[in-house]
Amino acid sequence: MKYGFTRKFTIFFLLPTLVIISIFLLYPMVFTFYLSFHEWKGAGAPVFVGLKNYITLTQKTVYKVAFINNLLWVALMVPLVIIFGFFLALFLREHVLGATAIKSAIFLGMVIPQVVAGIVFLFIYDPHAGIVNALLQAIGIIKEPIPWLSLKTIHIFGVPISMSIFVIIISSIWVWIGFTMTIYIAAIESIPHELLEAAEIDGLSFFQKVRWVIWPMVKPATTVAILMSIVWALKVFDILYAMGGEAGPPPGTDVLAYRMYIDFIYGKYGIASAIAVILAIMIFTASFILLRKVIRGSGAEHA
Amino acid sequence: MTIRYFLKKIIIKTSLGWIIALLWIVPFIGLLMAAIRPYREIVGGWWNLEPLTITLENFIKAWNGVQAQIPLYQALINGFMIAIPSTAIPLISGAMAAYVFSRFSTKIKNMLFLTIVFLQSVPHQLVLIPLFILYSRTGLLSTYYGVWLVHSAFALPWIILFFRNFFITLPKEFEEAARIDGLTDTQIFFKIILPISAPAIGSVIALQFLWTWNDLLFALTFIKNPDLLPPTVVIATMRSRYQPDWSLLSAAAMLSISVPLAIYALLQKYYVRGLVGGVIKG
Repeated sequence: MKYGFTRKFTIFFLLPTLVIISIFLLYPMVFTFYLSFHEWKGAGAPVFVGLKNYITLTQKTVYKVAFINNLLWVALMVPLVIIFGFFLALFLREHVLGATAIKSAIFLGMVIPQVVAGIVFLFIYDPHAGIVNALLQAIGIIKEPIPWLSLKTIHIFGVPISMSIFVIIISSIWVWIGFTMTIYIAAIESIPHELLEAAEIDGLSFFQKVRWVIWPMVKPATTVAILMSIVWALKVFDILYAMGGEAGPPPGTDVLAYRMYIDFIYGKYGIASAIAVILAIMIFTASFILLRKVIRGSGAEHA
Repeated sequence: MTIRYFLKKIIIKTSLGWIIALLWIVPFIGLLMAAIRPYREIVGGWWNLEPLTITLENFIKAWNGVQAQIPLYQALINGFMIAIPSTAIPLISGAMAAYVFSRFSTKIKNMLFLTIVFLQSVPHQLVLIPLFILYSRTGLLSTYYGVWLVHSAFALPWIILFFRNFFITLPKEFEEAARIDGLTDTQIFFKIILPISAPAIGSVIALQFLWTWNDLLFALTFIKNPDLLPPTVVIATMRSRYQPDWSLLSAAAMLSISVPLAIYALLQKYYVRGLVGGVIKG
């Protein structure tokens, strides 16, 4: 009997994938990289400008704002979705009636379009029709409604950042926590029962069990969840677009993906490409570091 | 201690669980309340139930379209027009490629496979400009072909990884027996491998359909003809045009999330399995 596929079969089965990926993924990637060193309005020949676009990124305030906001997004959202996702999974594991329904409710944010999530949050933060202000006023914490999406500006490393970014980051946690929770539910379920029983027989308290048995056992899941959350936080676009549209984000709430889109529709192809390249490098680095950690088997518990 | 202790534990944990669920669902209740009531009633807050008029007017207005806005039923049709082929194309071509990668590994095949898997982390922004230019020049701009193909390109890496991980778990005996019976490799793939891969196919459909249905950026960039837009873009545009008519906006949003909610309800098992499987093995 023959060993292996025929050459004809191999080529025929790989061809559609290779064609689609080459034209619609590889070619544009290379072209974007090329464009990031050029100035181009879409017609004529691109003018080579060296590192000028990248230097502009480090100098102009709009880009610094976008960069810092992305970092804030990663620094705040990732630990919170990991910790809360883990505890939700742990909490919903036993002694909760209707746990499946509760899980589905939390998971809803992952199922709906993010642009709808953005609109939902515009609605709940609205100064007049929004429930957040109404609740806070009812309890007496605030007297006047707060315009959550146009809060005052603070300076981080001398860059003006709108405090509203924190409010928006909270909404992204609402969206994304369903993901980390689901990952942890699956990871906890796959822990051998004997292990948990042994821990109980040894008289470990609940917290000791979590700390010394469950948390170490779900380490691979944690690594993956962190990686995916970082990538998601770096790519965030839809939620903000729902709030700012074609006009661009409210001042001080810019992120790289949104700034890239705005520069792109205004025909600044060179600088928009440079943003895309920087974004890609950040995402590739995150993927690479964490994948290496997975292979080495040393977890990433310092979320 | 035992029974009482357990009852107490169950009651406390259950109520806490439902409080969390409620917290998560409040935004949706707001959306629903705004959608089924006239705007004048919810402008001061949807939680004021005096007076309470329940009406389908907002849904009808959104469904049929207001002024320059395309009717939402058209947007929903467009959404299917985009999401179905954007799911089918990478599903078939990805499964085919994954099958080649899952058997008889060679150096070249392994390198190709790793390269494709690596492409999973490419951010969408990295292809927008060149494809926009390419589409403008070749007439693919504002056609569904362009959107299908870019969705397919972004889906293929994870779909190939997912299917390959599934195929390597399949016992080889079937294929060997079929080969002895004289079936060609192509016949084996379509007649034996694909049918027993139904669970994996279900997961890919659930995930990819939802992702393409929920996509905003590609539709926004590559479809400039307002009549062809999917619900996500239509709603984002409505937001900037009609805010704060929360009632109209909420009704449109409810209509647009009905499809993903239905898919999730139907394919939940596959969806979650795909999400977890793809992620933990990936």
